[in-house]
Amino acid sequence: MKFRDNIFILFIIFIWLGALATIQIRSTVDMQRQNAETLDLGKLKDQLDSKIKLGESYKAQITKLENDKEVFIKASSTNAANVQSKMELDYLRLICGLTDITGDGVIITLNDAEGPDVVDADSVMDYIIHDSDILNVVNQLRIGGAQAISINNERIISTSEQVCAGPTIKVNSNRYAVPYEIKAIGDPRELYATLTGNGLIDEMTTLGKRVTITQKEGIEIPKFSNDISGLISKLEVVNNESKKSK
Amino acid sequence: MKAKRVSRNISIALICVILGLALSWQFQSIRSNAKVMNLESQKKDDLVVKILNEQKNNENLRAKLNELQVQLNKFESARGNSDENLKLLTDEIQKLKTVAGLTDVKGKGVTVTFAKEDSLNVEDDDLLFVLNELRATDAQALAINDQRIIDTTEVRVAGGYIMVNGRHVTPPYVIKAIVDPDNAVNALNMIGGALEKIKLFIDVHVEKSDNIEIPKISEELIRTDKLKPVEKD
Repeated sequence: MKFRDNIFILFIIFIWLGALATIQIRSTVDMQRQNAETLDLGKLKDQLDSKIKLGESYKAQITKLENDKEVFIKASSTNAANVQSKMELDYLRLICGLTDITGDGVIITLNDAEGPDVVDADSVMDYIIHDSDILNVVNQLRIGGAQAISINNERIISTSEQVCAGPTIKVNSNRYAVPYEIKAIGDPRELYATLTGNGLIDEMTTLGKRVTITQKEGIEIPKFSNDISGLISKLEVVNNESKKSK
Repeated sequence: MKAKRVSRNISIALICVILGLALSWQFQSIRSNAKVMNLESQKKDDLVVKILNEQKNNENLRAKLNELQVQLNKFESARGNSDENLKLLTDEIQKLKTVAGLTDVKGKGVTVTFAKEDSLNVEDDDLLFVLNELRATDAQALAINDQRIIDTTEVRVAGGYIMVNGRHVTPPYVIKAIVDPDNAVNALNMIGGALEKIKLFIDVHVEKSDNIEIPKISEELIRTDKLKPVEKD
C-alpha cells in the first residue's frame, strides 16, 4: 500500500515538472519573438520609408533641374554655330546613354530557382542567379548586336559593373534583388537567336532557375542616371581631336 | 506480491508514456517557435539590406543633383551671352566625347597581361570577369589590347581567336584600365576574387602604372540606327 502511494506521488510530480518546463520554455521564446518584432521591425520600417521618400524627392528635383537645363540649352541655340553644337550634343547624349530611348528588342527575366525546402549551403548556390549569369547574358546580347541594354531599368554603359553584393546585385553602384529584368534594343530575332544559341540559357533552366525571353516591340530603356563627372574624373584627354570630329 | 509488481510496472509504463508524449509535444512547439523566429529575423535582415540599398542609392542621386546644380548655375550666369553659351555647349560636348570613348585618354591605372603561351586557355569568361572586377572598382576607361571597351562591346571566342568590338585581338591579351591602381590590384588579387580561378590555368600578371594610354573607339563601331529617343514635351 505504501509503495503504491509513492508511485502516485511521483506520477503527479512528473506531470507537474513536465508542464512547468513546457510553459517556461514557451514563454521565453514568445518574449524574444515579441521583442524582435515590435521594437526592431517597426523602427526599421519607418527608416526605410523615410529613405525612400528622400530618394523620391531627390528624383523629383533632378527631373526639374534637367528640364531647366534643357530650356537653357534650347534658348542658347539660336545662331547657326549653336544649333550645330546642339545637334552634336544630342548625338553624343544618345551614344553616352543619356537619353531615354525606345525601340524593338527582347526582354529577359531571371529569377532564382523555386528551391526545394531542404538544401545545404553549398548546393543552394547552384539555384540562385549570380553576377556571372547576368554578365554572360549581357555579353550574349552585345554579340547579338544590342544597341542599348538595361538591368532593372539601370542603363548599362561602358563602365557599368554587375557584381554580387550579398543577396543583391550591384549595377551602376545601385543594388537590386531578384527578379532581374534585362532589356535590350536591337534586332529582336537576332538577339533571341544569339541568346538561345549557345546553351547558356539551357544551363540555367536545367538547374531550375526561372528564365523567360520575350521579343517585343517598343521597349523603353531609361537613361543613365548617375552623375557624369564621376565617370571621367581620372581621365586626361591625350590629344584634342576637335579637328577630326565631323 | 505478484499482483503488486504487475501494477507497479503498469504505472511506471504509464508515466513513461505520458512523459514521452509531453516531451515530443514540447519539442514540436519549440521547433515551430524557432521557425517563426527565423522568419522574423529573416524579415529583419531583408529590411536592413533594403535600407542600406536605399541609402546608397540616395547618395548617388545626391551626387547627380549637385552636378546638375553646378551646371545650371553656369548656364544661369551665361544667360544672354551667346559666346559664353557656345563655350558651355562646347565644354559639354568635349566632356560627353570623353564619356562616350571618342577620345584617347591617359591616366593612372593597371595592366592585366595574360601570358602568350597560355593564350589558348583564355576564355571569354576570363576577360569578362576581369573587366567586371575593374568596373566594380570604378574603372573609368577600359581596353582589351587596343580595343576600347564601350557599352556595346562584346567579348567572344571564335575559332581559337578572341573577338572584341567585332575585331580579332591577337595574343598576348592585355587588359588596360584607368582606375585607382591600389584598389584595382587589391580587388583583383582578393581571395576568391576574379584572378584566383584564372591563375590555375593561365599565367596572369597585374602591373600598376602611372601612365596608361587607352585609345578611342573607332566611330563606325557605334551604331544607333535601332534607337529612337523617347519624345517628351
